[in-house]
Amino acid sequence: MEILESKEQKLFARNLICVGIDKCENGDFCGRIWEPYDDQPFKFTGINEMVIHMDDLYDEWNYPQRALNERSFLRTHEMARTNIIRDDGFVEKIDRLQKMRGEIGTFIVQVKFRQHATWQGVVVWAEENKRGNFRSAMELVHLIDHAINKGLLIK
Amino acid sequence: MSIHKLNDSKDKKGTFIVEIQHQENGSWQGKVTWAEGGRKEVFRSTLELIKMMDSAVNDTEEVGAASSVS
Repeated sequence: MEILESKEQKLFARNLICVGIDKCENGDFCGRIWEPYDDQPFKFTGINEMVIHMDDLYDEWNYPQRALNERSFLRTHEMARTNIIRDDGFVEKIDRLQKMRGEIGTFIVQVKFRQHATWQGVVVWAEENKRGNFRSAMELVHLIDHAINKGLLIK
Repeated sequence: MSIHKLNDSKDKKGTFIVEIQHQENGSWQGKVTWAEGGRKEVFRSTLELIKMMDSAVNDTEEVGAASSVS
């Protein structure tokens, strides 16, 4: 995890996801997730729901490809894959996604790899135009939490 | 609170005993035991742990008698 640094920040990738945090309730975050290939946001009522939905999207796109097979107590359901991410015309979709905003904070997330059964990538805090790298889903959650609650990672 | 008291709690959705053994790659690795399902699994990240717990709690109905599997 790195301290968010300030510069002109704009991410661009086919698998960009916009996480809008709307409120903090019972010590957890509620908000919406926008993905490029669906006009309607997915609403989540807890950070666990957010990470599970995002991981399902990456499975659906098969991008970034997971390096390790999924483990579960139960037999895992095979996620139906789509090639939607490989279609043309995603530039406008990404531009549209960049404009979405949550009520208390917005984070544009690019997961570059899915190694060690988790995520590695970069996140931009849209309101403050600051960027941070993460080595795991837990670090991404830490970055979001610190940005919203403490502003600790603001320089 | 003892393990027995934990197991007796009412309206439980699922009970898990989590053992964190390593902290590598900015995440946690260890073992998780699903008490109702009587199964133990190794997890390699918190994301994997969350997904395992979530599927044990939410997908049990679909699998039917999964909770009696030991």
